[in-house]
Amino acid sequence: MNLFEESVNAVGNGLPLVGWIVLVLSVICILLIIRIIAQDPKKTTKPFGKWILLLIFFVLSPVIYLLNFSHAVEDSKKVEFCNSCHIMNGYVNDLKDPDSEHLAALHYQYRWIAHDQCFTCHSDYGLFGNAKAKMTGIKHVWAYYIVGYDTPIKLYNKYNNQICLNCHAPVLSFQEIEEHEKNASDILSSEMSCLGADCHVRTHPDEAWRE
Amino acid sequence: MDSKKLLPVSHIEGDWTIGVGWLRKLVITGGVLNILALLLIILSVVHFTPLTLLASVSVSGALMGVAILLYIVVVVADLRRRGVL
Repeated sequence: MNLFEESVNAVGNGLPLVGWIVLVLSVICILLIIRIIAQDPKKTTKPFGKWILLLIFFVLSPVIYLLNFSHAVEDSKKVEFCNSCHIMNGYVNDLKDPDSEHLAALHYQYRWIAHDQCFTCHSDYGLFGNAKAKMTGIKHVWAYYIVGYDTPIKLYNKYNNQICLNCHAPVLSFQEIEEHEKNASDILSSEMSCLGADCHVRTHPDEAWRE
Repeated sequence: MDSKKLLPVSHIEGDWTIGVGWLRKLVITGGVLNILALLLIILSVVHFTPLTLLASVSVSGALMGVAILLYIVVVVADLRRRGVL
């Protein structure tokens, strides 16, 4: 990774405070559990161990789990995370190619989307959009590691134009384009795709999955 | 004879009644499951990949859930032995 890119990513990439808290708490819990269950119960003289175990089982462990969950959800939005599956390498390479004219690459190169570019364009907006994207992500991991997948990879459903419109629709220069006005209802309902020969260029190279 | 002397030392002292028999085995099983769950979470924090993410969320969640259930059994049994429940 380039030094400049690294310097920007380092802000959000290094192990965050939540990660450190999870690590330290986990290690403390593990050591305490081992200490308590390894000791000879007949030599125990204070009612200490079971309260510690109670605290670990019912409070600390669930807290650690939830902290890790929130940390994992945030980290899984990053482009690097998507790129950790081999099938995505071609897509991310194109994203980072300064000569690429694909729509996704332009959004990345010009920073029209500043962070988490894959996730921003591939998840619906709102709380349920995030949750749905995460469930789909689990499906992807399952397919990638366990059951396999068909190539070329493709979207499950028709792309939701609202994801594009969330940024573009309020802009006057978008609204004033004749084709947009003429096809407004079809665009809004995703009946008409934003992409195509007469409209906008492809988002990714067709053969990206082969890399 | 003092009837208390028939009970395990740990019971007399007010600590582990789980120091005896199957309850202790349950605590050890729960502890081991919880340790495994925490190790998976640590792995996910230090080496974040889709696989470790999935393991830390689903597998460790399940392990932790079972460990908690086991400890609930232990607590209930402990309270019943003491005559609280």
